[in-house]
Amino acid sequence: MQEPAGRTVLVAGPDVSGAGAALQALGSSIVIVGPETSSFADCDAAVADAVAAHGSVDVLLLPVPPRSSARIAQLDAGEWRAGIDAVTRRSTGLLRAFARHRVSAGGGGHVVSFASSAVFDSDGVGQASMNAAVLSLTSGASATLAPHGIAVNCIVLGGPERQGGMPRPDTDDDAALLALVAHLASVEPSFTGRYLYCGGRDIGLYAMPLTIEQAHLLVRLPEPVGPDELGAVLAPLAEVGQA
Amino acid sequence: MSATGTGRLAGRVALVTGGGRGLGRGVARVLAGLGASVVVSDRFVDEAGTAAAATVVAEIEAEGGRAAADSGDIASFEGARAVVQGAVDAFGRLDILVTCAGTYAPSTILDVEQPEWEGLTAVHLVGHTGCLAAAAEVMRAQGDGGRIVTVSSRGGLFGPQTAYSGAKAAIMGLTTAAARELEPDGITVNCLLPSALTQLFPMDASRRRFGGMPLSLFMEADDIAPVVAYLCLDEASGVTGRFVYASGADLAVYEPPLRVEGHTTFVRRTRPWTVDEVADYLPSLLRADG
Repeated sequence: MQEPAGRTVLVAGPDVSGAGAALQALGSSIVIVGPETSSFADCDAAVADAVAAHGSVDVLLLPVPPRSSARIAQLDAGEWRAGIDAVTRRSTGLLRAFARHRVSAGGGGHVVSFASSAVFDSDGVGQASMNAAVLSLTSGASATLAPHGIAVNCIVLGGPERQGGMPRPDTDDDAALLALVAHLASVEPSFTGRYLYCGGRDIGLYAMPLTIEQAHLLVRLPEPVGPDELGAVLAPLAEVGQA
Repeated sequence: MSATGTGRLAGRVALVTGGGRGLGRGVARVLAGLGASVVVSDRFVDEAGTAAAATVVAEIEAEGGRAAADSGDIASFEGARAVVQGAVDAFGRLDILVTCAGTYAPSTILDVEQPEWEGLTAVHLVGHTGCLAAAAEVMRAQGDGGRIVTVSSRGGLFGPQTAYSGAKAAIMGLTTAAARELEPDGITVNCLLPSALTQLFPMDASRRRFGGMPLSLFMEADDIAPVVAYLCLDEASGVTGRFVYASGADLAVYEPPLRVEGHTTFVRRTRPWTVDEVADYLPSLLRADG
């Protein structure tokens, strides 16, 4: 793991639970960029400014999608769009700018994104879309950036109540969250593309979504078939869970 | 004009965005074959000046079905609302919405540019959200339920194509939230995760193997349409908020991502449990407390 001292952390404010401040206490320099940094050009400029001031940017903390209960019926399109721009577009722009900087600097670096455990357990269509997009950004960027030694991981934040089937946290103490942020800001680059749960002092690693593991396999034959045809149908099923 | 006819979807009106080609074309034709009056929405016009939507409408009508073409742009909330209203104007109501309209760009996080991101987000995410919002209002006002099938992709949570994958993942989130909201109204919302050879995705099955999914035996877009049609039937009234993979003759139903109930979950505590602590914690994983 890399030591946090001497590194520069770009935080897409507001600073989630003081995560940036916690890294600052460990010796990192912190640059907070506000919500006005929304376009890709804004994000490029923010990273360039931080590099000019500090020599490099080593860690990126992406924004936390806000809670929203906006429903699909009677949806306020303007409010919905503002949320997408403030979180989804901004996250993409900041991660793009950071990734380009790190690749040009020879690779290495850490990105921590944030989503909610309510992502697939919510009535809020904007909130659900924004959070799901963060999961996608984490997974996709981690695959692209792994060859460059850049780790991209997502902290899935638990709420005060049960969300996504997770047990209700027994404390709102954020010490575990801050420790997890610090860990992921220093983790080995081979640990990337993961979704980690954090609610109170509960920490978890999610199984990867849309992945088949230990499936029962069924085939319905619409008509009698010979052994060769049966083999052609069955053989690929041996690959289930392996691809 | 009002919806009439015979078949399992007789009297129903369906709107299929992106219905002029590929998956959408197959869905429109199967729904029409089941008796639905279908509005085929598509903006594509070929080099000879023939509108894809008009071609599909002609195909449906030649087979005895009822259909109308629409060339509206669903990539804005206003445009999506106009397309939905156009369907209501054409056949008097709206019972089924299938959102196949899409586009694709392969850019990764290192090379994506904002115009591309905006374009993909508009067609996929705004297109889905705008159509769902408008359709939900119509279906609620009708008071007799409805069927919505969104179209996402396994690439939403696997793919490195930043704009495309992000929008497709967002559609999955949208589907879950909309399904919960609209369930009391008898409106189901399910998410299709297709894999087929289409104009957007001409790559063969061997390049689509991830997530433990085996090689598809068939990749025809039309093979997926019956799955969508099933989700639109009365028999599927209890199916909502689900993620259904379909490719040729293969079907899979994915559990909602990041849900722990019903799965093997390993828990490690940094000190031993007490009885009360187990009683407070374990029921959630077991779904024993509702």
